Amino acid sequence: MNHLSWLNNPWAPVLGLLAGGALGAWLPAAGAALAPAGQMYLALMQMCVLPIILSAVTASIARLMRGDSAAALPRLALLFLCGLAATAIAALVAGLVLQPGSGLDLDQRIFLAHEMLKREGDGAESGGPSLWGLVQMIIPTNVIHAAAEGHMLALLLFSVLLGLGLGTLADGQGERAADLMDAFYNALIRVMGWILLALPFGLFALMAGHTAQSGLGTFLKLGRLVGTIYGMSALMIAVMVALIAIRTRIPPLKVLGRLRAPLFTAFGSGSSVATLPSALKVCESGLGLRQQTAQMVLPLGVTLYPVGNVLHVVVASLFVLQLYDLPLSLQAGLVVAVGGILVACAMSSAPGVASMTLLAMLLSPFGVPVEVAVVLLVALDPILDPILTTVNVLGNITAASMMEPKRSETAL
Amino acid sequence: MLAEILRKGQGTVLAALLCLGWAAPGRAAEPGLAPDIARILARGTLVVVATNQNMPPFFYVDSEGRAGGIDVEVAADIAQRLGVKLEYARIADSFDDMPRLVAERKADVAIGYLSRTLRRAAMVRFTQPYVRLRQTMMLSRTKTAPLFRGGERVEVLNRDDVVIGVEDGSAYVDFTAERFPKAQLRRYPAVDDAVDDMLAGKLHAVVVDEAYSYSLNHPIPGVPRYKVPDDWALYVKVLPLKGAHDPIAMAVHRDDHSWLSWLDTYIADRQDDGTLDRILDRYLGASRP
Repeated sequence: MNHLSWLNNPWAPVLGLLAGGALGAWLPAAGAALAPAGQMYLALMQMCVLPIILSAVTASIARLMRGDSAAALPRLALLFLCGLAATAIAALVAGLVLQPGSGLDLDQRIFLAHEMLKREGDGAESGGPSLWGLVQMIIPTNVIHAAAEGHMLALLLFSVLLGLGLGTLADGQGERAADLMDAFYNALIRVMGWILLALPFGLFALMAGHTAQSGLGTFLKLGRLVGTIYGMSALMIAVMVALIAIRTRIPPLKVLGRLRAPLFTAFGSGSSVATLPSALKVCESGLGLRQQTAQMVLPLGVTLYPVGNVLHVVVASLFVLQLYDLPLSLQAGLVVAVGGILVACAMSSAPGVASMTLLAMLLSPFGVPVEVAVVLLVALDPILDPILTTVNVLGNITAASMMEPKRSETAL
Repeated sequence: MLAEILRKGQGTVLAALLCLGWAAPGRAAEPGLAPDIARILARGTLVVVATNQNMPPFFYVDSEGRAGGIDVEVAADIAQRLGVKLEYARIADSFDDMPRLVAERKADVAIGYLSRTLRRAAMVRFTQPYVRLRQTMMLSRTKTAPLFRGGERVEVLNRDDVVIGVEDGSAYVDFTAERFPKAQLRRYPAVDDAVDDMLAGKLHAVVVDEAYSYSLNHPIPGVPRYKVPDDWALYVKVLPLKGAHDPIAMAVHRDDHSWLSWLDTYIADRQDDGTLDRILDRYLGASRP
């Protein structure tokens, strides 16, 4: 990737991001005019992602099975679980200490009431949520259709199973197929490299469109909630950078410097899926992780390890509990934490707020009007999405570095 | 201000009653004219009964003392087409009062946000509905969340520990008792009082018509608003009830056959030429089904 170095000044993406943000804030009309260009660039980045996920997960799982490190999968599952649980507990504690939902003044309540009216619309009564619908998100009848609909969990399940199948094939069949998958993967990563050349311009357009329409009013009205989430995000970023630094033995500031392309892409695009190729590249070239590790952990983590979403859902649920003065029992706290994890995974695996029915089923017995939490999540999305996606992507990279065998072992 | 309107209203009534009694000659009757219509033409005024409270968006008096609303526009148009003056008799204390007053010949017609029900149809004759509203539930978000469990099937509210508020003397007493036979019904003098109690956590739901919930969302500038706190939507969810309609119709005395068919013809024609739809769109939004 040496042609990157002369086209891509190290600080160009940052510059594009800041310049776009400034333009959108000062000249909303110009920002809005640039928005379609930003969306087009985002679409271009997302275009390659589905085949990248399919080929990366399939090839890495197949190779795992053929090698002697099949224990890596359970280890990865445990790592994901621990990380998600730690995030949920941290978010719960932060929400309890900072109380973002208590003592809102009338202005803030009227603002929220108007958001509810605006977004709930005039919908007639609808049927209850169905567990069946959620199961269908994971186990589809038609995997192509599920992938086309953006149901990541279904695609991941299929990829893992295909990888397991390839890994157990005899006569070198599995190896040839895995090699083919690898070739696809490497080719797509190369294509992404070309696309990423335009990253500074893409981020410029994305940010300009973003700041032109973002609700600064929301930010001010719900300052304590937004502050809680931004503060927790900053804390998590610090902890995760420290973890990566310890694992890779690269100084923390250098880690941040090397990760800036995926982190700024995440911040600017608000899409962890679109950031995946850039994160994959940096893990291998910047942090020196093995391709095998990055290829397995990152695509799985995009859906199964969304720490930023966990933070968001848990804090929003607590906000609603506090808003209505509902008592927070130990049981309710537990449900908020576990539900937060499940809903966060569902959110990152399927587009839309359909996943919220899960949250509704879990929290409504405590008297929580979940539709308020949903509206809150949607209303705050433009402001919180950049930082939460950054946390998601960094969390994912941290998981990859944790899965990497220790440096001393690999330095053969 | 309301008291002032009421006093004004009573003056009108007195005038109206005098007119009804003597039928002072207004216009020479055409030969062959139906007697019930001839009576109105001869008097020169159309007396319309309405409730003594403001009911936006159907009937209200704004801050400058002008009457307005769907019913006022329709009634004014009817009076103009008959070639008579319009007199409003704001004497009904409740909706149930309106058919009673018409049956007692205190007015020619009730055009006042009046729901057509079988109970009332035993007293007066109803025209075809000029508005078909949907019945709407206003639900306490926190009290109904454990019952709905994430869904929105209102049938779960049909149980004996659910308390539903309705306006006393309105058609919604009948509608609600029929749809939620097991639930406890609590009657309130006005919907506002029921909503107050729901906000205080005493009710699960209040059943209203969509015009009421629409006017909470879209207050008309300068028009007295319902007494509901501004942040109500944070605590209350609005859910139109599927398949539950509230036909709003005009009511006339049971003997006034020709007058009834005149009004039916009027409604059919105004539906055909789009006049009614234009008025309704202005007051109830264009997104009605």
